[in-house]
Amino acid sequence: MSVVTFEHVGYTYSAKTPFEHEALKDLSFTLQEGRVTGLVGHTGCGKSTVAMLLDGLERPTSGRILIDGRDLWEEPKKVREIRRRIGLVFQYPEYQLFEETVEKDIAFGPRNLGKSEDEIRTLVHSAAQFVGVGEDLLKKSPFELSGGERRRAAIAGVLAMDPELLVLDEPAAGLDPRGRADILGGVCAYRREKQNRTVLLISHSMEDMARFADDLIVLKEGELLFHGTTKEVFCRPDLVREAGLALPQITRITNALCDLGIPEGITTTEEAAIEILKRLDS
Amino acid sequence: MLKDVTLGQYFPGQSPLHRLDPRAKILGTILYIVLVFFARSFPAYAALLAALIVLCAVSGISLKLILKGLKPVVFIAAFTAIVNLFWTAGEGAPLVEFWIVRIYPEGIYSAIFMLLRILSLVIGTSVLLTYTTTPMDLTDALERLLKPLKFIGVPVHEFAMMMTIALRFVPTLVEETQKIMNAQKARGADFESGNLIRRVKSLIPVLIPLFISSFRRADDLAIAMECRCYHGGKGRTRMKELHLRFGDVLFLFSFAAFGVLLYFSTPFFASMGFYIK
Repeated sequence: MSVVTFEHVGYTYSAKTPFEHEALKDLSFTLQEGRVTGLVGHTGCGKSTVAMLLDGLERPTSGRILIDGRDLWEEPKKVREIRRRIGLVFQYPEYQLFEETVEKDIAFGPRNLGKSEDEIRTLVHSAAQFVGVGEDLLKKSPFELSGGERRRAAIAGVLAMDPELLVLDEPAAGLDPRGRADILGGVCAYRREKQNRTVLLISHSMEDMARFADDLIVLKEGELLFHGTTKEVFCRPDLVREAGLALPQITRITNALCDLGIPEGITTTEEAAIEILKRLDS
Repeated sequence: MLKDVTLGQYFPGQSPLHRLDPRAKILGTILYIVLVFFARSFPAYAALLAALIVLCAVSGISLKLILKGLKPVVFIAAFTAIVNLFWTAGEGAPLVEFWIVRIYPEGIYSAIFMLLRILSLVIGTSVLLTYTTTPMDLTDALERLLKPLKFIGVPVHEFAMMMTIALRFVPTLVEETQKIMNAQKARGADFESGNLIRRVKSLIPVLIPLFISSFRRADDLAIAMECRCYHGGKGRTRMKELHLRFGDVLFLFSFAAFGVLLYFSTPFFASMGFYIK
């Protein structure tokens, strides 16, 4: 794994009813193996629909989704097989917890995949470690945890399936800055450890994207607006504005500095600090 | 799979039936149900069916939707018809006699009647009431109609509020179920294969989160209502008062007149030999 390609994919909700809604239009892109790709766009632009289609939970109304060159829906009976290789973390995943203990809940995914008990134990513990769910939490009931802890436990439940492609839909929504950094940092640690894992990170926070994404796909009303590296997107404030998003303050400052002749491609506060210090020194 | 629930669904529209006062519609529906059981002669039934067709036409709801709503009762209707067909003994000679099966002309009549009765009952009540009345209007009207029960200590308002809330959350729960099912599917859960016991077991990961989120939602709703000073029905006024208009009264009276006519005509038709047991 795994090269994932969307080929002219379209998706319409409740087709042929008064509630018809075209969520995706003629969407084509390829996710590069081993990279973190961010999917950004304004609310309702079809980000979550992309996630559902990727995991084979819905079938595209038009176009094809290729995984390693094979059509995901070639044999509809085998979609479940492909789904095993893809880990999808839904928005607010903490509402899917149901087991008596956090440990059992994290084990639900790998158990469904038919792993042995030894393997399951290793997978559960390493997944819990990545997102900072400690040993003491593993023995607790998921309903005793705080909101942020439950979120982390739910994400660990998907990481434990050891997916080749990891899709996260707004994993940090509604968390405080500390919680956001913990979760996204955990995901990055996971990817560093397991090489060649592809990650698709869905969010509308450009701050998070600046820190964690290598590539960016920008959606607008179900259509592809831009696909390029994060730096490229951050140098195009016009594009970002068109998609209905806001660049981080720091980027807006550095873009203004760009116009004054300071090098392009500064996306985070740390990079800006280094660059500014360099100027001050010379 | 959960999207196909049509029974008890409202279809928005602007027809005269939609605009009718919901209280008039509830009373009309009760009258209609009584009539379906009183109509015992062919002419009376024909008149009732004609009235039903007029109602359907006026409602502006497509025939396809009306027929789709019949799906849940098809089995019961067919079963009743078959039972009536084979088990009704007649006075004359049987039409068909084969092994233990005996079909009399009376059997055929009563099978057709039973079938018509069930289908017209379901179509009539859904077109007159559920398809053309919003759930909110329905509970409002019920509250008003049941108001006299307050004097014997029945908390009518509280019941109506409970019903409103229950109806309001049906679509929310359906959506939530779909979401949780998807989330568990993404974690490798399988709802489609295996025997009955395995399938029931596979629903546990859906039902537990669903229960928990329902309780949480109920708590949140209760707090939100209290924050807006809701304290039950005492001294509560309403934003939308129901007013009976001339059209509503006319509808009720003409429907009642139709019913009285139908009722008293039965002995007359019966004397002419149209009577059905």
